Amino acid sequence: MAECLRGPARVEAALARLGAALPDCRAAVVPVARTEGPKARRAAEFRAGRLAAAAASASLTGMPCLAGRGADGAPLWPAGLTGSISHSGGQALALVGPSARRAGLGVDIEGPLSPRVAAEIAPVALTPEERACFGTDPVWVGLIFSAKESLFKALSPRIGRRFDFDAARLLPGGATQPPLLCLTCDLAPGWEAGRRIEPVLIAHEQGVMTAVAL
Amino acid sequence: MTLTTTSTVPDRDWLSARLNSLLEDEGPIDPAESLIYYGLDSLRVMKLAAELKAHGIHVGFEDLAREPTLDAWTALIDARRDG
Repeated sequence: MAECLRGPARVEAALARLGAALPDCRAAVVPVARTEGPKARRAAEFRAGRLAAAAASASLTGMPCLAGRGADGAPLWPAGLTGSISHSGGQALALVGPSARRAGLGVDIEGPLSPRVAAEIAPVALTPEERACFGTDPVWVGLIFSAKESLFKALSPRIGRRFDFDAARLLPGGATQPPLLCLTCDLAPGWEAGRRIEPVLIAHEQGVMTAVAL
Repeated sequence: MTLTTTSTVPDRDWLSARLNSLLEDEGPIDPAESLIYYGLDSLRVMKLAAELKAHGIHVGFEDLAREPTLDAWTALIDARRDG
């Protein structure tokens, strides 16, 4: 099951947990500079995200990378690297790994959901099976929403198509098995309905952090 | 939950008002500009998709995320409402 981290270290502890789950990858967090207005905030988030990617890459390869920007806003990685960037709550997180070993990486952070917002988004973010299993528990709705964001970031560039939140559902974990994402439809050759992918699910006091490494 | 009690049929004015509230933006929104640049994030897109669903308009998250502009979303909602 996803562990809920408590205590003052929160994001740092979550980051350490993410690093331990994906030992061939590196993650880094950079605070987003405070700015006035949404456009300046967006620019500050972009800068912090690219700086986090450079820090993660420096940790992995000894050299900071400069991630470009694709037409859809998704980062473009230099040869040999793949990765993902997310921002929320004044922090930017980047996950970078070797493209020779990883077909795609997706990472996502979200702030804590209120019970009201969790109940509002559950009908769209969760499949009926997920709602039957997890209800509208704010931590699980947050984890499932975030895990599907991570899946999209990791898989969509790989298969060259976009897909919605009903394309996968989270299967609950058991005593010996972690929760798994299961595709609900055929997305691409090799990515058919029923294919299971293990996400990294981390809940902490400031929200959730998830990752999907293919 | 107050979503289902609203009687207003979502249209461009409804959408514009909801976006101004969701984005906490003081200025007007350029209808052709990507809402990402106004601070729209995936959770807010999800909230809007959920509100539309509560109004009986079934627009997927991905339908909205593909082209996040006020113009595109108005056309999408008009098409789903009439269809």
